Amino acid sequence: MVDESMYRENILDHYKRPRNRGKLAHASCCAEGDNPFCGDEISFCIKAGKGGKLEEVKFDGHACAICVASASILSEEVSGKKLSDARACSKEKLLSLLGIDPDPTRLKCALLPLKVMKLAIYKHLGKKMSKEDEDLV
Amino acid sequence: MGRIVSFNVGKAHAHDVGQVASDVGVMVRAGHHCAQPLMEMLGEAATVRASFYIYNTEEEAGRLAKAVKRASELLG
Repeated sequence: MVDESMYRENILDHYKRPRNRGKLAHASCCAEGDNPFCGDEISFCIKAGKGGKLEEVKFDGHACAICVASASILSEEVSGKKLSDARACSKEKLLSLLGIDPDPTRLKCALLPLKVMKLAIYKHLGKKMSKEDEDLV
Repeated sequence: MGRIVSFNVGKAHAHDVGQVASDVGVMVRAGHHCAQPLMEMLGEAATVRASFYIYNTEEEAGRLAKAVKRASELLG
């Protein structure tokens, strides 16, 4: 019996039709990251707008279904939010949006987009990443 | 005699195929297999690798085949 819990409808939907995937023209800042153990490579570009808001966010890269779905869902979640709120997005919040409880290996796939998105915001703000965010993946 | 085979399933990422195989109790390796230059040459991000040995049964091979089919339907 196949346990498809990891590949539920919302994950597959975001994997097959990722939102906000592609290049971002006139980005304020970009960051990239990878997971050498599985080969996931993700980049995030952000465009900061008026009032410290995240006007637009796009991701790109080669990654597994969990990582792509996570990046897609995250991009929808943080678009239009304040940079500070987007940067504060917790792993628990992202996992609840994904609706899965991955094992430690796949957890890295799910959290890589969060770390890279945060890195882009830190870079844009000229700040050093917190220890907690550094340890996400 | 042992046999080893590396493969991919359509556009599915190797780790996803490995997860689907794991869900039916078949352990495979997925990733670069410490051969990044070869992966680059092949233009693949990663591959799945299955190895068979004297203790494996036909039933287990059948389970892997079903997992590959399932991965193709789900993610390929």
